[in-house]
Amino acid sequence: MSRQRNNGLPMRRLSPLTIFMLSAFGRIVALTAIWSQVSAWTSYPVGLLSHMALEQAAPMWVRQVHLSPGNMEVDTAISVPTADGRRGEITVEVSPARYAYGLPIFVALVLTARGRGRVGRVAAGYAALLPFQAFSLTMSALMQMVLAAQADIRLLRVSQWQMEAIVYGYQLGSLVLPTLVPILLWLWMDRKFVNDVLIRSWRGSLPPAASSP
Amino acid sequence: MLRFFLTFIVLQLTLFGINMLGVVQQHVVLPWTALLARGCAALVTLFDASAAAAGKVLWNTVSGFGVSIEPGCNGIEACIVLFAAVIAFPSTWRHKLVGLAAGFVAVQGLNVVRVISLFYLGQWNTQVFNFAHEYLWQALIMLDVLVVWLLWVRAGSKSPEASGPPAPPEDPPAPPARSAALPQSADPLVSASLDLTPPVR
Repeated sequence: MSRQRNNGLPMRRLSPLTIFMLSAFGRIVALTAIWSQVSAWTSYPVGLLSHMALEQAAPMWVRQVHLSPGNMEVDTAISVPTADGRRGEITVEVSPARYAYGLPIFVALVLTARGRGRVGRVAAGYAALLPFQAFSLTMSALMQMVLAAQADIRLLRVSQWQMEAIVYGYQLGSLVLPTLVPILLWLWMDRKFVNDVLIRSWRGSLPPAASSP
Repeated sequence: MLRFFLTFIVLQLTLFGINMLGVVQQHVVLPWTALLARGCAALVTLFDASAAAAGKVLWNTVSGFGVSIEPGCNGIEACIVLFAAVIAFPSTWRHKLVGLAAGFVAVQGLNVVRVISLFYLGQWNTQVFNFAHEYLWQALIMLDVLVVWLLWVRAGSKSPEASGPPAPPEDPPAPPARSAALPQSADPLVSASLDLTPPVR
C-alpha cells in the first residue's frame, strides 16, 4: 500500500495504528489542557457521589461535607492531640478534579475512533466514569483521615484489615483507576473499531505474502 | 471479550496487591526506583553536568531543584496494567513472553522520558510541571500501554504461523450485530485468534 510522490519516489502510507496513536496523542494533550480549565465544574458530580459515599461508608468519621466547585472539605469526628496539648477534630480537603482526568482521555479516544453516535458515547462514558472517580476521591479523603490519625486503629475505631483495605483502595484509586478505567471503557464501547480498523485494516495493509496464512 | 476483561481485572488487582506488599516494595520497587533515578541522572549528565541522583531523587546541583521518583512515577503500575493485559489475552506463552519483555522496555523507556521532561519542566515553570505531572503524563503513559498492547496483538496476527493460533475464548459473549455496510471478513485467522469480538461457536 504505497502512493507515488511527485518525484516518483514511493511514499509509505501510515498504518491505521500509527494514525490512531498520533491522533490520540494530540487530542489527549489538547483536551486535557481544556479540561483543566473547566474541571471544577465537570467534576462537581464526582464530589456529590463522594459526599454520599463518605456519609454511607464512614459515618463514624464524617461529621459534615462541604462541597463547592473545585473543592470538597470534610469535617471529621476524628480527634487528635494538638501542639498545645489539647485535642482537636481534623478537617480534610480534597479536590474532586484530582482523579477525574480520565474524562479527556476517554473523549480523546472516542473522537479519534470517529464513528457514529460520538456525542451519545461521550455522554454515556462521562456518566460511567463518575462512580470510579468518586471511588478514587473517597479513598483519598479516607486515606488523609488515616494519615492524620497516624494510622492508629484504636483512635480510628477500625480493624487492621479495614485499614489495609483503605490503603489498597487509595493506591488503586490514585495510581491505576483514573487512567485505566477510561481506556477500558473505550475498548468496550469501541471494540468494533478496535477490531475492524486497528487490527483488520492493518492486516489488509500487509503485503499478500504476510497477510495471508 | 468478556472473559478477557474479567481475567484482566482479576490479574490487575492481584498483581497490584503483590506490588504493594512490604517485601516486594523493599526488594523490588525501591531498588528499581533508585536505579531509574540513577539511569535518568546518567542520561541527563550526558548533556547537563549539573544533574545528579541521590537515592530516588534526581536533582540539579546548581539550582537545588529536584524531583523525587515516587510510586506512580516509576512506571511499575503501568507495567502491571500491560502485563495483566498481555497475560489475559488469548495467545501462546511464547508470544506472551515477548510481549512482557518488549512491553516492559517500551513503558520504562517512555517513563525515562517522562522523568527527565518533568525534571526540566519543574525548573522552568511550576504550573506547567504540575499539569504535566498530575494529569498529562499519566494519560500519555497509559496511552503508551494501550498502543504497546495493540502492537503486540497486531504482531500476533502478523506471524500466526510462527507462534501458532491461540485458542479462542471458551465462553464468548454474543457478538454485536454487524453492520451490513461493513464487509464480513473471509479470513478465519483474525477471528480465530485476535478478533476482539470472538465468533459464536
